[in-house]
Amino acid sequence: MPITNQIRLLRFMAGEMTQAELGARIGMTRQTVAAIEAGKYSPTLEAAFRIAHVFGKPLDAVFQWDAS
Amino acid sequence: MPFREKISWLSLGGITVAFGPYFYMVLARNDVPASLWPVDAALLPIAVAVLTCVMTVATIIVALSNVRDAQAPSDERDQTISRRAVAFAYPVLLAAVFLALGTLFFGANQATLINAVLGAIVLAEMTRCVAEIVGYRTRG
Repeated sequence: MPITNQIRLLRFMAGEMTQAELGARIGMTRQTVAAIEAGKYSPTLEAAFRIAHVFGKPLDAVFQWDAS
Repeated sequence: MPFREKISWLSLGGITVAFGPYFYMVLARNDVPASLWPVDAALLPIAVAVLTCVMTVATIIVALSNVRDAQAPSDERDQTISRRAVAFAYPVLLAAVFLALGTLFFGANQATLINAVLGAIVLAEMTRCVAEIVGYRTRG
């Protein structure tokens, strides 16, 4: 999977925010947040921006793309 | 497990429970009736009623077991998986319906043709359910 993310770390740094809490804030289900976090689902650009906005981080601090 | 994946499992199970016995009885009989009446016309509403009852009861039980998940609107992943499943099942439906219509060239009567078309619809719906389940289980 060339796209990785730091959502688990960012949730921890945000006071152990739960997947359900993050999901509620970005309009997604807990299971979808879990799938994104595990790299099983790549969110749309809009959803990725919404996630980054929740953590107050730029997009590339949340999602990384490995070109190799 | 996501609520909508549970519903896909329920749909697959419900269709199997409702239409499995229907097609077993249709295929197992020795005589091929000239029309749907009276046997298939009686069996079909029973199959539909069984499917409706199974789906209604099972959906209520699953929803009550996790009300929050059941009330949550579908998100982009759910919609993507649903779209892909429909896109996967549609060619199956087309192919199966054309095969069903092809039975006409082999002397199929009204009952055989209608059951073949019904089988095509059931097959496509089961394909959609399986594609949704696979979507949730893999890379959604």
